[in-house]
Amino acid sequence: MKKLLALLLTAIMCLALCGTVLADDEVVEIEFWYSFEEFMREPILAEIANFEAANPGVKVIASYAGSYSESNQKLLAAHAANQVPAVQQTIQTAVATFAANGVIYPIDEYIAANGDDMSNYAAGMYAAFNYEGKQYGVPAFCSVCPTFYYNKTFAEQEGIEIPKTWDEMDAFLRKATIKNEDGTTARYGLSLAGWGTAYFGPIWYANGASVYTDDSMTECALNSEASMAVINKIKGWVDEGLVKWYYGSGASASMRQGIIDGISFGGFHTCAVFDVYKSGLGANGWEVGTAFNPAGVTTVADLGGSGLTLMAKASEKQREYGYKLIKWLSSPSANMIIIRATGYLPVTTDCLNSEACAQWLEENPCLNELYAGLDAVQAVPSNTHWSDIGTKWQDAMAQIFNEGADVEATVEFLCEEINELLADD
Amino acid sequence: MSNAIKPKKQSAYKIRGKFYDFSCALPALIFFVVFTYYPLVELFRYSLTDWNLMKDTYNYVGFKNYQWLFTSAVGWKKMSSTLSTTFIYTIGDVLGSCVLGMLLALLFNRMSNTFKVMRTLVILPRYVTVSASALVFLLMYNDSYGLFNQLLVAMGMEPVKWLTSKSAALPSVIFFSLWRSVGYSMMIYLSAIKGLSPDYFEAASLDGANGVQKFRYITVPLIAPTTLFLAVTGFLAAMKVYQTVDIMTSGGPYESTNVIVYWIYTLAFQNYRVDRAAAVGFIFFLILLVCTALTMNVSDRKVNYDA
Repeated sequence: MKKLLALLLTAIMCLALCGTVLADDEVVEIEFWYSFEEFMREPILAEIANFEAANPGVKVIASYAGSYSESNQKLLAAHAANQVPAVQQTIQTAVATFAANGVIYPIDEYIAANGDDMSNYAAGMYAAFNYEGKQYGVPAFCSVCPTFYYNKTFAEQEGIEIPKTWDEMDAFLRKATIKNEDGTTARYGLSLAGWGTAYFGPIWYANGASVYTDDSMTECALNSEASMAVINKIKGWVDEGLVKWYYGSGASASMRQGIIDGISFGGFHTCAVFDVYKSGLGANGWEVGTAFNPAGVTTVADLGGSGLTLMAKASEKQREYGYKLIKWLSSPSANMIIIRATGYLPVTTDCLNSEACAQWLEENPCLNELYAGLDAVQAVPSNTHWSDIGTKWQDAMAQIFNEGADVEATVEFLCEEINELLADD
Repeated sequence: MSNAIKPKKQSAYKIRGKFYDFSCALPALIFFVVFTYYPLVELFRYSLTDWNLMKDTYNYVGFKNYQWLFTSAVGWKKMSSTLSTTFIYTIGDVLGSCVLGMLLALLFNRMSNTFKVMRTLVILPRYVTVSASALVFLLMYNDSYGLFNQLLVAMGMEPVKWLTSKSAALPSVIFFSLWRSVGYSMMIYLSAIKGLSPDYFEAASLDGANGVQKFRYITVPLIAPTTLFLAVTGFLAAMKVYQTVDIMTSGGPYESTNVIVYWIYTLAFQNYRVDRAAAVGFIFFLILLVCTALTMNVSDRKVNYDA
C-alpha cells in the first residue's frame, strides 16, 4: 500500500513538473496595463486578440490600470513588489523619471535584434520616449496640445478667418465675439483651457517665453518680458470679455460644452477629444473645424498623450514578447483604430501615408491643417517638480485672469515659489 | 506544607487563565501588529531614508527629511498650509455634524413614527459611496451647468464658483461632507436622547424649567459622552480626509483644499518622494496621537457618564 502511494505521488510530481515545463515552452503570459477610456477598449482589445492569434506562444492579460496617474501609482507599487506588467501605457512626462530610476527598460537591443527601422516614427513623438540617448518606448496614443477647435459653420456664415499667427488674434477675437446690449458677452471668441499647462503653455512658447531660463531648469523665467507680454495680452482679452479662461473642477467639461452649445466660438483643447467635438457640434447641426496653435516667433505645440514602454523587472521572455506587442499596437492598422475612436495622431509616416489615413482625412478635411504641423510638436520639458510647478503656474494664471489678482505681484510670487521648488532637492 | 502547595496551584491556574485571555486577544493583536504597528515602524524607517519607491536600494540619511519639513521654505510652507486647511475642514465637519445632528435628533425625537421615512432619508447619504456621491455633487457644483447655480440664477441671484474660487471651495467640500455625515450623528444622538430617563425632565418641569433650559441643563450634559464619541471619531476621520478632495478638487483651487493626506499622496506618487511623504505621515500620526490624547484627557475631567 505504501509503495503504491509513493508511486502515485511520484507520478503526480512528474506530471506536474512536465506540465510546468510544457506550459513554459508553450505560452508566455504578459501583462499589459492600459489607461485608455472604455469606448476605446473594444477595438484595441480586438487588436490584442489579433496579436495573440499571430503569436501563438503568447497570452496577453490586458487590464485597465486607471488614469495615467493611477496607473503610475500602481506601477511603482508593483515595481517595489517585483510584480510588474510587461508593458505599460506610459504618459510621456513620466518617461525621464522612470528611465532614470530603472523602472522601464530600454528597447534598443530589441530594435537591433529585429532590425527595425524606427525612422518611420514621427521624430518629435519618438524623441519623447528617449532618455540620455536610450530609447525607452514608442509613441502610440499621442495628441497635439493645444488643438484649436472652432465652429466651422459660424466661421463660414460670419466670414471669420481663423488666425494663423498671434498677431492676428486681436482682430479675430473682436469678430468672433458677440456682445449683448448691456455689454456682457453672449459668445466668447475663444475659450482657453487654464486647467492644464499642456493646453496654455504653448501660447507662451510660441511667443518666445519659457518656464525656465535655460535647459538646466534651475531658474523660473515666467517673469521675463516675453512671458509678461503674453499674460498682459490674455488678461486684456479676458477683461474685455473676448476670452474665457476655464480653470478648476469640471473646467474641461464646461469648456467643451460651452463650445458645443455655441457659448464660445472656439477653444484650445487636445486633439484626443476630436470625436467629442465633432459629434457634439454635429448634434447641434454645426460642423467642427480644427487648427494648429497660431504662430508667434515660432510655431510650436506640446505633445500630449502616451506611449508604450517595457518594464525593467519583467522577465527576459516577457520583455521580448512585450516588445512585439508594442510594435503591434503602434502599427498603422492599430494606430488607425485609435485615431478613429478618438482623434489621437498618426505616430508613424506609414500610418500617415496609408490609404486608411487618407480616407480618414477625406472624411475629416479639417484635420489636414493639424496634421501638417506635426513636425512642430515637442515633448514637454519635465522634471520631478513638474507636477507642482504646473499646478502653481495654472493657479497663478487663474488668479490673474479670473480673480483680478495683480499681475506683477502674482507673477513675482509665482517665480519665487517655482525657484524654491527648483532649489529644493 | 499545605501552605506551600496552595499558592503554587493558584499560580498555575492564574497563568492558564492569563494564557487563555491572551489567546483570545491574540487574533486582534496579530491584526494590529501586522496592519497598524508594523507599517508605523516601517513608515518611520522610510522617513530616515532617501527611498523614492523606484530604486531597489536606498541610503539612511538620518533626520534629513524632518529637517526639510521644518526648516526649508517649501517644506514648512506646505506643511503649515495643508495642516491649517485640514484643521479648518475638520472643525467645519465635526462641529457641523454634531450641531446639525443634535438638532435633527431633537426634531425627529418629537415626531411620530410616521416620520421614520424622513429619518431614513437623512441617514441614507452615509451609505452611498464617497466616489459616487462626490461625482454627483461635482456635477451639481458645476459653474456653468450645475444644479445649484441654475437654482440661484432662477431666483435672480449671481452664480457662485462653488469649486473654482478660493473662498467657496473649502466650504463646498465641507458641505458635501456634512451631507454625508449628519445623518449618522443624528441617529447616534437620537438613540442617546431616547435613552435619557424622563424623570429628569418631569422634575425640571415641576421646577418650572422651559424647553430651552431643559435642553441646556439636562439634555446637553447627559448626552455629553455621545458628543465626545462623535467628536473623537469624527475628528480622526475628518483629519484623514482624502477621497473627497481627490475627486472634487484635487487639492485646488489655489491649494485651498489641499489637505495633509492629499499632500502626502502627491509627495509620494507625483513627486516620487516617498521618504518625505513618510516623514510628513509620521509627524501627522504624532499630531493625531497628541490631539486624541488631549481630547480623552479633557473628557475624563469634563464629561459626565452618570446618565
